[in-house]
Amino acid sequence: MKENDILTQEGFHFFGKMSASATHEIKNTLAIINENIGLMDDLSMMAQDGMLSIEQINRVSKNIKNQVQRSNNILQKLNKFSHSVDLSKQMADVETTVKFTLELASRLIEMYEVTIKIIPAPSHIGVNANQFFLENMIWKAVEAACQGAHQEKKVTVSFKQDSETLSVWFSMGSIDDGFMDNLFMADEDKALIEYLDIVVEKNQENCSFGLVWSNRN
Amino acid sequence: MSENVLLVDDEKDFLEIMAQRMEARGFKITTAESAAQALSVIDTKPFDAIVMDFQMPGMDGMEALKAIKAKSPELQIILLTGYATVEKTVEAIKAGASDFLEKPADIEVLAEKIKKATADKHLHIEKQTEERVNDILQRFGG
Repeated sequence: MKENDILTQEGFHFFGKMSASATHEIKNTLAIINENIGLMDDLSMMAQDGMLSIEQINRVSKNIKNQVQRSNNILQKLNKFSHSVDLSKQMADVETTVKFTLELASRLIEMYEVTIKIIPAPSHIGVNANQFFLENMIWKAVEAACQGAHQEKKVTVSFKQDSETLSVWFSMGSIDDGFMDNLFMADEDKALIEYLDIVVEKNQENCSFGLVWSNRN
Repeated sequence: MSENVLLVDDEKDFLEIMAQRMEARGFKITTAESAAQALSVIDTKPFDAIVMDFQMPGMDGMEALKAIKAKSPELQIILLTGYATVEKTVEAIKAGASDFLEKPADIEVLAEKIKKATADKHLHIEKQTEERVNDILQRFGG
């Protein structure tokens, strides 16, 4: 398969994964709203027997409001994500993109039961890149870090910038032997890395890896 | 007869209200917020059926289904999921799930499925008992 085709396929895969996760979460909010409406029906039956609990009604109303707000947040994220394909290239803030990707994939990250801590960048870290594939690469890095951190269940994300390079680092506390050897070795990983013009630095000793851009943009 | 049901879901709000509504329909409900918690709860008391979310943090629904079935093969498990694909449904049924229901689910449909699953469980136990009795009778007769 040609490199462009691999990249396109990877992009579809990423889009599908994020959409599936978001729609799954929306289904969960609908299930909760559905149960609350059902409870309201049950309460109205009780009201006919003169057993109406105002407290229960207030609780149901609050629950529905919370779930509507939750659905709205998910849809806002999904809409923003859909617009990340609008421009082929733009100046993207790496820290903002990391935070957005973590929010977008929050349900998927929950599945790994890993806590992710972000150390804010000392200054603005901007790269000229395709926003969608940048999010794709960051998700791949987050997912790899979550898998790598299966022992301590903690990942720290930090940013570095000097005159030559700018980078985002994922530290995992401890990792299995050989973890770094297999990291980003698939064809789709290589295609993404090349397209985004980044270098992956692996540090087995510090249990961390970084996505590094040359500071020439 | 009121069925003993274990509800398993990582969505706490869903779990609480579902439990309240099921109890109002005469079921005896116990809740667990993860598959791991469900696995330890089934050691403490007997259940007629388990209603479990298919996608949860840590151990997912399929892993949990296999682990529960390995522990208690007679336990009836109904899976709840955001999206039920044919492949997923077939895989779950092959792994021992009694039924599969898509969220948001109708509580009356779920209640019916629990009753049917419980009846199947009792039928299974009766059949096993009958087989054991026949086996003993044959051995003594022979």
